[in-house]
Amino acid sequence: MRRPGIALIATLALTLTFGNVALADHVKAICEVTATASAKLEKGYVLNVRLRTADGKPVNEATVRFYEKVELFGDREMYIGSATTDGQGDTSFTYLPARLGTHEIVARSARKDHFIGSEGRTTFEATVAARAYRPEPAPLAAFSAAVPFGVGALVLAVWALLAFAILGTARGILRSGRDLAPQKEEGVS
Amino acid sequence: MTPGPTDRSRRRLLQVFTAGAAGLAAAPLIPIAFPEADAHTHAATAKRQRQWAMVIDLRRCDGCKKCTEACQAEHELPKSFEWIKVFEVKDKSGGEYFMPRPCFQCEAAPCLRVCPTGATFRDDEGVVLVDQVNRCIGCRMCMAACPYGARTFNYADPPKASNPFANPTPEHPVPQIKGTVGKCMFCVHRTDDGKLPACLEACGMQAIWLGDLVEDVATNGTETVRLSTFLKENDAFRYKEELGTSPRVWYIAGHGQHLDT
Amino acid sequence: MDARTRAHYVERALWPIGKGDRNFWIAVVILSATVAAGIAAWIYQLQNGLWVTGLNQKVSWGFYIINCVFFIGISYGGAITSAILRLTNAKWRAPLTRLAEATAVAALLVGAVYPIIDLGRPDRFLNVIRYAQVGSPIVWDLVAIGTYTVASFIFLYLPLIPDLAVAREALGGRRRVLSPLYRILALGWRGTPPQHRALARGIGIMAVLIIPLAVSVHSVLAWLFAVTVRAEWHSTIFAPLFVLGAMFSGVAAVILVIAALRRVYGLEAFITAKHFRYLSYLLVALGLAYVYFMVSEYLTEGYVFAENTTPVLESLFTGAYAPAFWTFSIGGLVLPIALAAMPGRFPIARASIASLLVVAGMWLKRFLIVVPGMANPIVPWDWGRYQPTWVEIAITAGSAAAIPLMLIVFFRFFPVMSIHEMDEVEGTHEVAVTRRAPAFAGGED
Repeated sequence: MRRPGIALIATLALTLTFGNVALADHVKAICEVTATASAKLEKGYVLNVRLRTADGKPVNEATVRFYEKVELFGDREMYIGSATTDGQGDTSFTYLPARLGTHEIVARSARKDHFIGSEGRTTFEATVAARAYRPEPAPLAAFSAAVPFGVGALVLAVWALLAFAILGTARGILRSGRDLAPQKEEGVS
Repeated sequence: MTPGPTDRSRRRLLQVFTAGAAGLAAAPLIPIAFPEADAHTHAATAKRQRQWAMVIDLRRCDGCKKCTEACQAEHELPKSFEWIKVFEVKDKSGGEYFMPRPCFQCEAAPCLRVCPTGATFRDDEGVVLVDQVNRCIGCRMCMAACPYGARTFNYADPPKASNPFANPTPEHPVPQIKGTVGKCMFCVHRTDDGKLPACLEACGMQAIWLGDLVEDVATNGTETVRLSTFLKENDAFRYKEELGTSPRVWYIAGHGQHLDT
Repeated sequence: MDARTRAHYVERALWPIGKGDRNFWIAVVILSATVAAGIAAWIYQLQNGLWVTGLNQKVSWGFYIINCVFFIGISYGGAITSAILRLTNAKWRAPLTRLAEATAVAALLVGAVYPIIDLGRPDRFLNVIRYAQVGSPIVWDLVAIGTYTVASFIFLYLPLIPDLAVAREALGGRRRVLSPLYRILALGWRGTPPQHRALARGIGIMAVLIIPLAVSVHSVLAWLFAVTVRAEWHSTIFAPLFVLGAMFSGVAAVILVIAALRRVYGLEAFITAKHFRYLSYLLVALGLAYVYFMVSEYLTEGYVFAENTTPVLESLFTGAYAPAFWTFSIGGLVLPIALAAMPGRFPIARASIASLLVVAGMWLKRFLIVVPGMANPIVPWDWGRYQPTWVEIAITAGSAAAIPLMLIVFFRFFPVMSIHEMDEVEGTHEVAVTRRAPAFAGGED
């Protein structure tokens, strides 16, 4: 994984979606999300949220929940975390995705006081991801793989010895019996 | 490298001793191990490489056993076969809770290791399956080896199959075959079709989550969470993990209390 | 050496051959009926499936695995009595070896069938070879038992070669059917020095080899249990414990066999109280070693009272399996060891009773290893239950009857005592080269 350069601290592809139309007695909050690479790239991407009303007033102390669009038995929104806006209506959430490629993020602000909830979206291209899942390696795998060969050699040696015990003995007995047979016949008769 | 479509025939070659486990998992995971190489093609790939995992939230389980019933209906099992069994556990302090136990699809599965014929194998999504059709000889060594009692032996014929032309496969072992061993298989026949496992869908408490370790995501049907965060924040644990089995099923401790998360 | 003595033991060794007296046929009929009942029960099980047994989801191994361990254990008597006594050059072994080796093969054949009886799909048994997974203890079992079976046959056959030559010459004229068989199997044995050397080398190799092979078989059988994570099985001492238990029960089985067959075949002159005393010492030594191993196992497990082993220890010492456990400990260990160790009168009766207790006790011990280990709850459920059905009992009885049946049938065709070894210990093998049929054989023609 390459260390990030300053150039990488750049705003990524960004889309904006405006919240729903305000109801008569409520003020619409506009949730604006941007994603930037973190100063330390391996920490992931910073999802910046700016929550303002249409006339630019910050909405503070509002909870914003972040979701990522995923495909798992259909399209789903994966909850990835939440943050609360500060006095400027700003907040951020650092997100290190599990995989590379395009990520589509949805940020939702909950309804708060007379502000109705709203959502913003952004997509970014991840060039860094959390350490990918890898199965836990089998302990002593190399050793375990060698054991069957050792035992197999031992088994073969035993079988060779068995074969020698029976075939070698039989051969010894048969040969000696044949060699001596004529002599014996003569000697006895 | 482009991960191909699910290819379950490949795995048989890889089942050699414990090293098999590592090698097995490595083959489909090459695109994950080398993310740069895969970055361009990943999004374009139609079928994602999944590594299934399950999370069971004991805070939510009320012990209704709907999961067990759904499982038995899905796999046409007799009532005594509880591939997902709900245990009523009494802890040392007198508390009681329910603990559904599917097969844990252990990464270092003892059942897989002891199988003499390779009838038990791991598919490329990390699910441990049993080839009842051709391989299993019914020695029940796996039942002795499984520390979780997750396997059932077909002592008798299974109930008559609803589909008279049913053709059981390891991925869809319905009906079961007498004289062989069966177990929970994370409903791979359903997940292959983009459907959630039967137990998960049946759980009214939404206590069962199915997750993908590769994409790090899990869902219980309505909510979707980031798997690793979910496990970490809820102090998830794996049952009898100290046995070195590396289960693919996590529990979130609790005792059926109502939660409003 | 004294020709009359040799004539005597040759006559005794060959005496049962071809003899079909009434007692023989009664024994054959009774034993065959029992075996047939066992086979019928097996066929019934094959037709219906394993639900006809008492096995269930929690206790999925029972009588069949117990019997497999038990009968293969019995076969160790051959390895011990024959190989170890041969290697230590104990001359008194000579009249016993053939009986011990034949018992070994018979018990082994019975024990080796049990894993197949236990299978849910015995028709797929060859899958173990076709798709063998080297990591599986079942495959290890197949290799170890297969090798040991072949070795046991060789070990039975090699010392038989000179005896077959004697039988060929002694009975050649009398037995038309057996004569060619003897001639082929005797491999033209004439007792020449090179033949003696070849045979001694073969037997020597086998005597050395059969011991590690026997050890390997029971070690692997123990690992069948010990490699699982069930706490009460997952024990480092299991393999030696199994090997020792097998030797213990094997020697006891040899005592039982010689006690019974010495009367049947009139071998009292050769197998005497001395033999029973010596074998009793062996039995006592092995028994004490077994007690030591057992104490070591239970102490290390019991001292710490680990959460997962405690329930089994409780059930064995004070719980549901306590009656069986203490019956075994007292009746199968203490009592027979005391009986066999006592000096004094009735050595044969004492050795026989002790051996009977040991054999029965060791069966019970295998039960106490397999069943509580299975029934012990590994997950939060109740203890498993196991109640064998008539099928398992019938198969067990049939297989037990198969051993004496095989023995008496075998000795109807092959010499019951190793003439060759008797020659060796009596120092008469030089005479054997030119000796023709013994006097008695000619007279009976």
